[in-house]
Amino acid sequence: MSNKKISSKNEIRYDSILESISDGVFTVDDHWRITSFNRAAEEITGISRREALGEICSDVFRSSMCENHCALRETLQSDTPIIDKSCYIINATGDKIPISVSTAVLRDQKGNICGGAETFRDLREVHTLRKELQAQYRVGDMISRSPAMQEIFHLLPVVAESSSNLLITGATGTGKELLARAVHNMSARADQPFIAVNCAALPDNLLESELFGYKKGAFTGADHDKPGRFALAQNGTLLLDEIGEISLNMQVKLLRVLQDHLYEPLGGTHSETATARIIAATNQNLPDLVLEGKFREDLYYRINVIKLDLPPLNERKEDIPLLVEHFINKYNHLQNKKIKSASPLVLAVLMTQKWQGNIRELENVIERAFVLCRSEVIDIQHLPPEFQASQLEYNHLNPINKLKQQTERQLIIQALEVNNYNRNATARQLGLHKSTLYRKLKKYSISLPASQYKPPR
Amino acid sequence: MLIAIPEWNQRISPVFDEALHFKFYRIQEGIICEVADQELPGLLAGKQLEFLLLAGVDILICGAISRYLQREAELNGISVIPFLAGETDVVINEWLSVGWQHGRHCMPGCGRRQCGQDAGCRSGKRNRGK
Repeated sequence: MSNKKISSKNEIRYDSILESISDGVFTVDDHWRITSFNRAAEEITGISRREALGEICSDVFRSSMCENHCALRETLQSDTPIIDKSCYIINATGDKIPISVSTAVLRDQKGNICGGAETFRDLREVHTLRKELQAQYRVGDMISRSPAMQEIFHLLPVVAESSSNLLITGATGTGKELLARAVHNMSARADQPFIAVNCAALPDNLLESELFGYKKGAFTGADHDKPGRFALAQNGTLLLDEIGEISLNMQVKLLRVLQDHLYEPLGGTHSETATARIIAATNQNLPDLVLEGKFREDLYYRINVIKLDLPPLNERKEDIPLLVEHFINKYNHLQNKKIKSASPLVLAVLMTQKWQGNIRELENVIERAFVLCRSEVIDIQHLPPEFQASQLEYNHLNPINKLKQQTERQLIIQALEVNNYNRNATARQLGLHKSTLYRKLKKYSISLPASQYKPPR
Repeated sequence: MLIAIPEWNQRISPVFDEALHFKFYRIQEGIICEVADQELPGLLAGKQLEFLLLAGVDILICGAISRYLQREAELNGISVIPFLAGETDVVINEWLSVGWQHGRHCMPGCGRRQCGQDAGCRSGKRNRGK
């Protein structure tokens, strides 16, 4: 058999292989014109081979990389293949299709570069599956894979079905209002209003008129009827945030609504019925307030029919990468930016922080990084200075030492908390000399509450 | 009337959503009276549409554009003539002199529904020469 025949047979075989694979493949000549375009490429792009052949590849492929980061150009210039680079293409109906691209150089029989080949994989299915997986970790605007939060997520459908009063506890910034909204949105009341009142923000008399409303003439300046939050939340959900802050006098009035579902607007002559579901939220320890006589026991039991306790971020640090990704997506959308991720070092530094402001603080850190970041990746210089300080040490260590130092830092923080920031007691508990503890506090940038700060002598 | 065309290598940029360089044509009575080149400012990185709105563009002639951005542009009063390909000056001059001709400058695979030959063509003829 002649060489020509063998070569022709091989070409037919290669064509058959290219036609049968599910990845799109096209080749270009040295003028960037398309010389082959397989069946999968037709399917993914929605462009027929007839229309594609002979055209400039960027007019056919229309990928986000064509103009500024063409993978094929890079490969032809460096003679190095690129594997699985992520981007998107825009098809003829304006859909953005996520793909991954791989490239290779084409050579003629003499070994000279005569063009390039690009292989691309449709990632829509992968993205859909990823979204489904992420949905398991998401309820409303809350996102978590930590066991404690997963337990709450599993309870939510049952909690939402009920109309019983709900108490949400958790430190500041843990997402109490988000959880209340999630409960409302999952309930049969979802079409009705969700009204939130911050009880700590208003003095007693204002809070009363805000909650119950007033009638015309109730006081000077009341020249018309004003509905209160109970009326506005009719058949919906009323969130009483910072419930631990209200006065004993106000607690009595609230108790009556919760017991009898009746209230009287200021200046009103007859009672009105409250039909809203009540969710109360607090970052305070209500049983302690009851013991101190600052919170009525009967009101506590009335609001504490179902209780959900949100863990602080320190107890769900495994959520930090997920939350960072979530906030990056959120701010990309809000600010029309294209930041892809945070660098591994940034994630490592974020994992070592104490997060007293919890998720709200983490969100603020990412929002700040968005202001400063001009590239696709959030890096350490985009974090606040105090975060950068903690990475200086981190950066120059090998992985084992990093882990050791993280652990040591955590241990010292925990011991300080247990010992109410008494440094002598902390040093004793840790088996360290007092001056060694001071040195380590400085080394790990551990700050003490202002009232506890005494410079070492 | 101000027309913007995202440009790359003297051709219409393949993807508006990623374009970094724009060519602006001011048209009066069907004639180009002013041409300007402008890079997308760093402060507006990734905000091509905001840039055009700030510039006061009336018509955008472009290559591929995501459906979302096209709709946003149109909601903000910019007529979009999408999915065109070819040399920027050739496309604009041809449009001004003879209007869209069937099949010319259409991106491959772009049905008549999408590209300048159909919807864009009508808006082009309507606006041409203002």
